[in-house]
Amino acid sequence: MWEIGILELSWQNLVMIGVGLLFIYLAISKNMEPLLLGPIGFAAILANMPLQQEYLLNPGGLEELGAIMDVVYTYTIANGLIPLFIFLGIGTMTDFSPLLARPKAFLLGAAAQIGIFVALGVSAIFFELHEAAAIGIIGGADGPTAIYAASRGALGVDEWMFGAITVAAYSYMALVPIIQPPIIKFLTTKEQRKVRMGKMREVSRLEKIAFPIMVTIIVGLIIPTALPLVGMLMLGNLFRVSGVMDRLSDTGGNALMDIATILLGLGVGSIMIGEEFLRPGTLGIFGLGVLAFAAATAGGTVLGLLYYKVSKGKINPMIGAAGVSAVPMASRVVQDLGQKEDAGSHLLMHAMGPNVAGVIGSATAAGILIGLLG
Amino acid sequence: MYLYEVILIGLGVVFLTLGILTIATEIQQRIINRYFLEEEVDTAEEELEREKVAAIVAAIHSGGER
Repeated sequence: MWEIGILELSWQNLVMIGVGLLFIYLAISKNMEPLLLGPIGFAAILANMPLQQEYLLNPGGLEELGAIMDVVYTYTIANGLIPLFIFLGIGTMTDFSPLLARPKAFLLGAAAQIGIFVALGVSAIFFELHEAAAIGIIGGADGPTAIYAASRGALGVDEWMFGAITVAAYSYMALVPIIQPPIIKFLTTKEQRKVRMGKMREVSRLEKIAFPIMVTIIVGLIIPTALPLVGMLMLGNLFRVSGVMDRLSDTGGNALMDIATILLGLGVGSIMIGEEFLRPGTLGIFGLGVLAFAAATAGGTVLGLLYYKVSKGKINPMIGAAGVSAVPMASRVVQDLGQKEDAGSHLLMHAMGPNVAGVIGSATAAGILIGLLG
Repeated sequence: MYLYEVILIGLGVVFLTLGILTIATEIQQRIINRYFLEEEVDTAEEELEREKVAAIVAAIHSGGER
Protein backbone atom coordinates (compact mmCIF):
# COMPACT_ATOMS: atom_id res chain seq x y z
CA MET A 1 0.00 0.00 0.00
CA TRP A 2 1.29 3.45 -0.92
CA GLU A 3 2.07 5.75 2.03
CA ILE A 4 3.21 9.37 1.80
CA GLY A 5 6.74 9.60 3.19
CA ILE A 6 6.67 13.14 4.56
CA LEU A 7 3.94 12.27 7.05
CA GLU A 8 6.27 9.77 8.70
CA LEU A 9 9.29 12.08 8.94
CA SER A 10 10.52 12.58 12.53
CA TRP A 11 12.70 15.40 13.89
CA GLN A 12 15.46 12.86 14.50
CA ASN A 13 15.37 11.93 10.81
CA LEU A 14 15.66 15.61 9.90
CA VAL A 15 18.66 16.10 12.17
CA MET A 16 20.41 13.06 10.68
CA ILE A 17 19.64 14.23 7.15
CA GLY A 18 21.37 17.46 8.21
CA VAL A 19 24.32 15.43 9.52
CA GLY A 20 24.48 13.56 6.22
CA LEU A 21 24.52 16.85 4.32
CA LEU A 22 27.27 18.13 6.62
CA PHE A 23 29.37 15.04 5.90
CA ILE A 24 28.93 15.52 2.15
CA TYR A 25 29.87 19.19 2.53
CA LEU A 26 33.00 18.32 4.56
CA ALA A 27 33.95 15.64 2.06
CA ILE A 28 33.55 17.77 -1.05
CA SER A 29 34.37 21.29 0.14
CA LYS A 30 36.93 20.57 2.85
CA ASN A 31 38.36 17.35 1.39
CA MET A 32 37.95 15.66 4.80
CA GLU A 33 38.16 11.87 4.31
CA PRO A 34 36.04 12.35 1.15
CA LEU A 35 36.04 8.71 0.11
CA LEU A 36 34.39 7.74 3.36
CA LEU A 37 32.45 10.74 4.61
CA GLY A 38 30.88 11.16 1.16
CA PRO A 39 29.26 7.69 1.01
CA ILE A 40 28.45 7.69 4.75
CA GLY A 41 26.78 11.09 4.45
CA PHE A 42 24.69 10.03 1.49
CA ALA A 43 23.82 6.71 3.14
CA ALA A 44 22.79 8.57 6.31
CA ILE A 45 20.35 10.60 4.20
CA LEU A 46 19.00 7.40 2.60
CA ALA A 47 18.62 5.69 5.97
CA ASN A 48 16.68 8.61 7.42
CA MET A 49 14.20 9.00 4.65
CA PRO A 50 10.75 7.97 5.87
CA LEU A 51 9.59 4.37 5.77
CA GLN A 52 12.96 3.00 4.70
CA GLN A 53 12.75 0.47 7.50
CA GLU A 54 10.46 -1.31 5.04
CA TYR A 55 12.66 -0.85 1.97
CA LEU A 56 16.38 -0.03 2.00
CA LEU A 57 16.82 -1.06 5.61
CA ASN A 58 14.44 -3.99 5.55
CA PRO A 59 15.66 -6.50 8.09
CA GLY A 60 14.34 -9.30 5.93
CA GLY A 61 17.76 -9.25 4.31
CA LEU A 62 18.51 -11.19 1.14
CA GLU A 63 14.92 -12.28 0.61
CA GLU A 64 13.54 -8.73 0.55
CA LEU A 65 13.39 -6.49 -2.51
CA GLY A 66 15.68 -3.47 -2.42
CA ALA A 67 17.06 -4.10 1.06
CA ILE A 68 20.57 -3.22 -0.11
CA MET A 69 21.62 -1.36 3.02
CA ASP A 70 20.58 -4.13 5.36
CA VAL A 71 22.25 -6.76 3.19
CA VAL A 72 25.47 -4.74 3.00
CA TYR A 73 25.51 -4.12 6.74
CA THR A 74 24.61 -7.64 7.80
CA TYR A 75 26.80 -9.57 5.40
CA THR A 76 29.85 -7.36 5.05
CA ILE A 77 30.15 -4.92 7.95
CA ALA A 78 28.66 -6.56 11.05
CA ASN A 79 30.83 -9.64 10.57
CA GLY A 80 34.01 -7.60 10.15
CA LEU A 81 34.60 -8.66 6.53
CA ILE A 82 35.02 -5.20 5.00
CA PRO A 83 37.59 -3.91 7.52
CA LEU A 84 39.68 -6.96 6.66
CA PHE A 85 39.53 -6.22 2.93
CA ILE A 86 40.49 -2.63 3.71
CA PHE A 87 43.44 -3.88 5.76
CA LEU A 88 44.54 -5.97 2.81
CA GLY A 89 44.36 -2.85 0.65
CA ILE A 90 46.30 -0.82 3.22
CA GLY A 91 48.96 -3.54 3.16
CA THR A 92 49.39 -3.12 -0.58
CA MET A 93 49.95 0.61 -0.09
CA THR A 94 52.21 0.50 2.96
CA ASP A 95 55.97 0.76 2.72
CA PHE A 96 57.50 -0.78 5.84
CA SER A 97 61.05 0.24 4.83
CA PRO A 98 61.33 3.07 7.40
CA LEU A 99 60.37 0.61 10.12
CA LEU A 100 62.80 -2.00 8.82
CA ALA A 101 65.55 0.61 8.72
CA ARG A 102 64.95 1.46 12.38
CA PRO A 103 63.12 -1.43 14.12
CA LYS A 104 63.12 0.40 17.47
CA ALA A 105 60.28 2.45 15.99
CA PHE A 106 58.06 -0.52 16.82
CA LEU A 107 58.12 0.55 20.46
CA LEU A 108 57.02 4.08 19.56
CA GLY A 109 54.07 2.45 17.81
CA ALA A 110 53.39 0.51 21.01
CA ALA A 111 53.62 3.61 23.22
CA ALA A 112 50.99 5.42 21.17
CA GLN A 113 48.53 2.62 21.96
CA ILE A 114 48.42 3.97 25.53
CA GLY A 115 45.63 6.19 24.23
CA ILE A 116 43.45 3.11 23.70
CA PHE A 117 43.86 2.03 27.30
CA VAL A 118 43.45 5.51 28.79
CA ALA A 119 40.19 5.93 26.88
CA LEU A 120 39.17 2.41 27.89
CA GLY A 121 39.72 3.28 31.56
CA VAL A 122 37.64 6.46 31.37
CA SER A 123 34.94 4.91 29.17
CA ALA A 124 34.50 2.08 31.67
CA ILE A 125 32.99 4.62 34.09
CA PHE A 126 30.06 5.15 31.72
CA PHE A 127 29.85 1.97 29.64
CA GLU A 128 30.15 -1.80 29.95
CA LEU A 129 33.73 -3.03 29.77
CA HIS A 130 33.46 -4.52 26.25
CA GLU A 131 31.83 -1.31 25.02
CA ALA A 132 34.54 0.77 26.69
CA ALA A 133 37.17 -1.32 24.91
CA ALA A 134 35.50 -0.70 21.55
CA ILE A 135 35.43 3.05 22.26
CA GLY A 136 39.06 2.97 23.38
CA ILE A 137 40.13 1.55 20.01
CA ILE A 138 39.28 4.96 18.50
CA GLY A 139 42.58 6.02 20.11
CA GLY A 140 44.37 3.70 17.72
CA ALA A 141 43.53 6.24 15.00
CA ASP A 142 42.70 3.37 12.72
CA GLY A 143 39.19 3.30 11.26
CA PRO A 144 39.12 -0.30 9.97
CA THR A 145 40.48 -1.62 13.27
CA ALA A 146 37.88 0.33 15.24
CA ILE A 147 35.11 -1.10 13.05
CA TYR A 148 36.47 -4.64 13.20
CA ALA A 149 36.81 -4.50 17.00
CA ALA A 150 33.29 -3.14 17.47
CA SER A 151 31.67 -5.63 15.09
CA ARG A 152 29.25 -8.34 16.12
CA GLY A 153 31.69 -11.22 16.17
CA ALA A 154 34.35 -9.25 18.09
CA LEU A 155 33.39 -6.94 20.97
CA GLY A 156 29.80 -6.89 19.72
CA VAL A 157 28.51 -3.43 20.65
CA ASP A 158 24.99 -2.16 19.92
CA GLU A 159 24.33 -0.81 16.44
CA TRP A 160 23.99 2.86 17.46
CA MET A 161 27.35 2.63 19.22
CA PHE A 162 28.90 0.87 16.23
CA GLY A 163 27.88 3.78 14.02
CA ALA A 164 29.12 6.37 16.51
CA ILE A 165 32.49 4.62 16.93
CA THR A 166 32.96 4.36 13.17
CA VAL A 167 32.13 7.98 12.50
CA ALA A 168 34.27 9.15 15.44
CA ALA A 169 37.24 7.02 14.36
CA TYR A 170 37.22 8.33 10.79
CA SER A 171 36.41 11.91 11.76
CA TYR A 172 39.33 12.10 14.15
CA MET A 173 41.66 10.57 11.57
CA ALA A 174 40.84 13.56 9.41
CA LEU A 175 41.38 15.86 12.40
CA VAL A 176 44.88 14.60 13.19
CA PRO A 177 46.49 17.84 11.90
CA ILE A 178 44.33 19.80 14.36
CA ILE A 179 44.48 17.53 17.43
CA GLN A 180 48.16 16.54 17.45
CA PRO A 181 50.24 19.76 17.09
CA PRO A 182 49.21 21.44 20.37
CA ILE A 183 49.94 18.27 22.34
CA ILE A 184 53.33 17.75 20.67
CA LYS A 185 54.26 21.39 21.24
CA PHE A 186 53.19 21.20 24.88
CA LEU A 187 55.39 18.17 25.55
CA THR A 188 58.51 19.16 23.59
CA THR A 189 60.84 22.17 23.55
CA LYS A 190 61.74 24.19 20.50
CA GLU A 191 65.28 22.76 20.61
CA GLN A 192 63.95 19.20 20.63
CA ARG A 193 61.63 19.89 17.71
CA LYS A 194 64.58 21.29 15.74
CA VAL A 195 66.58 18.05 15.86
CA ARG A 196 67.56 16.91 12.36
CA MET A 197 67.79 13.21 11.74
CA GLY A 198 70.32 11.54 9.44
CA LYS A 199 69.69 9.56 6.29
CA MET A 200 68.07 6.17 6.75
CA ARG A 201 69.79 3.01 5.59
CA GLU A 202 68.72 1.20 2.43
CA VAL A 203 66.51 -1.82 2.99
CA SER A 204 67.05 -4.87 0.79
CA ARG A 205 64.23 -6.52 -1.13
CA LEU A 206 64.73 -9.75 0.76
CA GLU A 207 64.17 -7.98 4.09
CA LYS A 208 60.96 -6.50 2.74
CA ILE A 209 59.72 -9.92 1.60
CA ALA A 210 60.66 -11.70 4.83
CA PHE A 211 59.05 -9.03 7.03
CA PRO A 212 55.32 -9.67 6.39
CA ILE A 213 55.82 -13.41 6.77
CA MET A 214 57.73 -13.00 10.02
CA VAL A 215 55.20 -10.56 11.50
CA THR A 216 52.30 -12.85 10.58
CA ILE A 217 53.89 -15.86 12.26
CA ILE A 218 54.91 -13.99 15.43
CA VAL A 219 51.60 -12.18 15.91
CA GLY A 220 49.67 -15.36 15.09
CA LEU A 221 51.57 -17.28 17.74
CA ILE A 222 51.10 -14.65 20.45
CA ILE A 223 47.67 -13.11 19.76
CA PRO A 224 45.50 -15.30 17.51
CA THR A 225 42.63 -12.80 17.75
CA ALA A 226 44.80 -10.12 16.09
CA LEU A 227 45.70 -12.34 13.17
CA PRO A 228 42.72 -11.58 10.90
CA LEU A 229 43.72 -7.90 10.85
CA VAL A 230 47.49 -8.29 10.90
CA GLY A 231 47.38 -11.26 8.52
CA MET A 232 45.40 -9.34 5.90
CA LEU A 233 47.70 -6.33 6.28
CA MET A 234 50.74 -8.51 5.75
CA LEU A 235 49.21 -10.46 2.86
CA GLY A 236 48.57 -7.18 1.06
CA ASN A 237 52.13 -6.10 1.81
CA LEU A 238 53.52 -9.36 0.45
CA PHE A 239 51.64 -8.65 -2.80
CA ARG A 240 53.38 -5.28 -2.91
CA VAL A 241 56.95 -6.27 -2.12
CA SER A 242 57.11 -9.62 -3.89
CA GLY A 243 57.57 -7.99 -7.27
CA VAL A 244 55.72 -10.84 -8.96
CA MET A 245 52.17 -10.21 -7.73
CA ASP A 246 51.67 -6.74 -9.15
CA ARG A 247 48.20 -7.54 -10.46
CA LEU A 248 47.04 -8.66 -7.01
CA SER A 249 48.69 -5.65 -5.40
CA ASP A 250 47.01 -3.34 -7.87
CA THR A 251 43.59 -4.93 -7.35
CA GLY A 252 43.93 -5.00 -3.54
CA GLY A 253 45.00 -1.39 -3.34
CA ASN A 254 42.62 0.02 -5.91
CA ALA A 255 39.56 -1.93 -7.08
CA LEU A 256 39.02 -4.02 -3.93
CA MET A 257 39.76 -1.05 -1.67
CA ASP A 258 37.27 1.10 -3.55
CA ILE A 259 34.56 -1.57 -3.43
CA ALA A 260 35.19 -2.07 0.29
CA THR A 261 35.02 1.68 0.89
CA ILE A 262 31.69 2.00 -0.92
CA LEU A 263 30.22 -0.91 1.03
CA LEU A 264 31.60 0.48 4.27
CA GLY A 265 30.05 3.88 3.67
CA LEU A 266 26.71 2.37 2.72
CA GLY A 267 26.69 -0.06 5.63
CA VAL A 268 27.72 2.43 8.30
CA GLY A 269 25.30 5.05 7.02
CA SER A 270 22.53 2.47 7.24
CA ILE A 271 22.78 2.30 11.02
CA MET A 272 22.81 6.06 11.52
CA ILE A 273 19.07 6.18 11.96
CA GLY A 274 17.96 9.25 13.91
CA GLU A 275 15.87 7.54 16.57
CA GLU A 276 18.77 5.23 17.43
CA PHE A 277 21.80 7.41 16.77
CA LEU A 278 20.79 10.64 18.50
CA ARG A 279 21.42 10.01 22.17
CA PRO A 280 23.79 11.40 24.83
CA GLY A 281 25.99 8.33 24.48
CA THR A 282 26.92 9.32 20.92
CA LEU A 283 28.23 12.69 22.12
CA GLY A 284 30.05 10.89 24.93
CA ILE A 285 31.79 8.62 22.42
CA PHE A 286 32.95 11.63 20.42
CA GLY A 287 34.34 13.21 23.61
CA LEU A 288 36.10 10.02 24.64
CA GLY A 289 37.51 9.72 21.12
CA VAL A 290 39.28 13.07 21.51
CA LEU A 291 40.68 11.92 24.83
CA ALA A 292 41.89 8.68 23.25
CA PHE A 293 43.62 10.53 20.42
CA ALA A 294 45.23 13.06 22.74
CA ALA A 295 46.50 10.34 25.10
CA ALA A 296 47.85 8.33 22.14
CA THR A 297 49.76 11.35 20.85
CA ALA A 298 51.11 12.09 24.33
CA GLY A 299 52.12 8.45 24.91
CA GLY A 300 54.11 8.29 21.68
CA THR A 301 55.73 11.68 22.29
CA VAL A 302 56.78 10.76 25.84
CA LEU A 303 58.57 7.63 24.61
CA GLY A 304 60.03 9.78 21.82
CA LEU A 305 61.47 12.03 24.53
CA LEU A 306 63.04 8.98 26.15
CA TYR A 307 64.59 8.03 22.79
CA TYR A 308 65.84 11.61 22.50
CA LYS A 309 67.57 11.35 25.89
CA VAL A 310 69.03 7.88 25.29
CA SER A 311 70.30 8.82 21.82
CA LYS A 312 71.81 12.02 23.29
CA GLY A 313 69.70 14.26 21.12
CA LYS A 314 69.98 12.40 17.82
CA ILE A 315 66.37 11.32 17.63
CA ASN A 316 63.67 13.96 17.26
CA PRO A 317 61.07 13.17 19.96
CA MET A 318 58.21 14.29 17.74
CA ILE A 319 58.44 11.11 15.65
CA GLY A 320 56.91 9.28 18.64
CA ALA A 321 53.66 11.16 18.05
CA ALA A 322 53.43 9.49 14.65
CA GLY A 323 52.99 6.18 16.47
CA VAL A 324 49.23 6.63 16.16
CA SER A 325 48.35 4.71 13.06
CA ALA A 326 46.79 7.48 10.99
CA VAL A 327 49.04 6.92 7.96
CA PRO A 328 50.42 9.18 6.60
CA MET A 329 48.66 12.15 8.26
CA ALA A 330 50.50 11.78 11.58
CA SER A 331 53.86 11.65 9.77
CA ARG A 332 52.96 14.76 7.81
CA VAL A 333 52.11 16.56 11.04
CA VAL A 334 55.58 15.74 12.40
CA GLN A 335 57.20 16.80 9.13
CA ASP A 336 55.32 20.12 9.13
CA LEU A 337 56.14 20.86 12.77
CA GLY A 338 59.80 20.02 12.16
CA GLN A 339 59.97 22.31 9.13
CA LYS A 340 58.33 25.15 11.03
CA GLU A 341 61.25 25.05 13.47
CA ASP A 342 63.92 24.31 10.86
CA ALA A 343 63.16 24.55 7.15
CA GLY A 344 65.96 22.09 6.35
CA SER A 345 64.58 19.35 8.59
CA HIS A 346 63.15 16.29 6.86
CA LEU A 347 61.38 14.04 9.32
CA LEU A 348 58.74 12.45 7.09
CA MET A 349 60.45 9.11 6.49
CA HIS A 350 61.68 8.96 10.09
CA ALA A 351 58.11 9.46 11.31
CA MET A 352 56.78 6.84 8.89
CA GLY A 353 58.54 4.11 10.90
CA PRO A 354 56.51 4.66 14.10
CA ASN A 355 53.50 5.46 11.94
CA VAL A 356 53.37 2.05 10.23
CA ALA A 357 54.34 0.39 13.53
CA GLY A 358 51.22 2.05 14.92
CA VAL A 359 49.08 0.21 12.36
CA ILE A 360 50.45 -3.10 13.64
CA GLY A 361 50.21 -1.81 17.23
CA SER A 362 46.56 -0.81 17.05
CA ALA A 363 45.62 -4.09 15.37
CA THR A 364 47.52 -5.92 18.09
CA ALA A 365 45.80 -3.95 20.86
CA ALA A 366 42.42 -4.60 19.26
CA GLY A 367 43.23 -8.30 19.02
CA ILE A 368 44.12 -8.46 22.71
CA LEU A 369 40.94 -6.66 23.77
CA ILE A 370 38.83 -8.93 21.55
CA GLY A 371 40.59 -11.93 23.10
CA LEU A 372 39.99 -10.68 26.64
CA LEU A 373 36.47 -9.25 26.33
CA GLY A 374 34.95 -10.51 23.09
CA MET B 1 37.53 -9.53 34.42
CA TYR B 2 38.52 -6.34 36.24
CA LEU B 3 39.32 -3.10 34.46
CA TYR B 4 42.86 -2.88 35.80
CA GLU B 5 43.55 -6.44 34.64
CA VAL B 6 42.40 -5.60 31.10
CA ILE B 7 44.57 -2.47 31.02
CA LEU B 8 47.66 -4.12 32.47
CA ILE B 9 47.44 -7.28 30.35
CA GLY B 10 46.48 -5.30 27.25
CA LEU B 11 49.30 -2.77 27.46
CA GLY B 12 51.75 -5.43 28.57
CA VAL B 13 51.00 -7.70 25.64
CA VAL B 14 51.15 -4.80 23.14
CA PHE B 15 54.64 -3.87 24.36
CA LEU B 16 55.68 -7.53 24.57
CA THR B 17 54.52 -8.30 21.03
CA LEU B 18 56.00 -5.19 19.47
CA GLY B 19 59.16 -5.70 21.53
CA ILE B 20 59.49 -9.21 20.13
CA LEU B 21 58.88 -7.84 16.64
CA THR B 22 61.65 -5.28 17.22
CA ILE B 23 64.13 -7.98 18.17
CA ALA B 24 62.96 -10.33 15.42
CA THR B 25 63.33 -7.58 12.80
CA GLU B 26 66.87 -6.80 14.03
CA ILE B 27 67.79 -10.49 13.89
CA GLN B 28 66.22 -10.88 10.45
CA GLN B 29 68.18 -7.90 9.19
CA ARG B 30 71.47 -9.27 10.54
CA ILE B 31 70.89 -12.74 9.09
CA ILE B 32 69.97 -11.33 5.68
CA ASN B 33 72.88 -8.89 5.65
CA ARG B 34 75.34 -11.57 6.73
CA TYR B 35 74.26 -14.52 4.63
CA PHE B 36 72.12 -13.24 1.76
CA LEU B 37 73.09 -9.66 0.94
CA GLU B 38 75.80 -10.58 -1.58
CA GLU B 39 73.26 -12.66 -3.41
CA GLU B 40 70.91 -9.66 -3.35
CA VAL B 41 73.62 -7.38 -4.74
CA ASP B 42 74.34 -9.88 -7.49
CA THR B 43 70.67 -10.09 -8.33
CA ALA B 44 70.40 -6.31 -8.46
CA GLU B 45 73.42 -6.13 -10.74
CA GLU B 46 71.97 -8.80 -12.94
CA GLU B 47 68.73 -6.84 -13.09
CA LEU B 48 70.65 -3.72 -14.02
CA GLU B 49 72.40 -5.63 -16.81
CA ARG B 50 69.08 -6.94 -18.05
CA GLU B 51 67.61 -3.42 -17.98
CA LYS B 52 70.58 -2.11 -19.97
CA VAL B 53 70.17 -4.85 -22.57
CA ALA B 54 66.41 -4.21 -22.72
CA ALA B 55 67.05 -0.46 -23.19
CA ILE B 56 69.49 -1.15 -26.05
CA VAL B 57 67.05 -3.56 -27.68
CA ALA B 58 64.25 -1.02 -27.32
CA ALA B 59 66.45 1.71 -28.84
CA ILE B 60 67.30 -0.52 -31.78
CA HIS B 61 63.62 -1.39 -32.28
CA SER B 62 62.40 2.19 -32.12
CA GLY B 63 65.20 3.25 -34.49
CA GLY B 64 64.15 0.49 -36.91
CA GLU B 65 60.52 1.63 -36.90
CA ARG B 66 61.49 5.16 -37.76
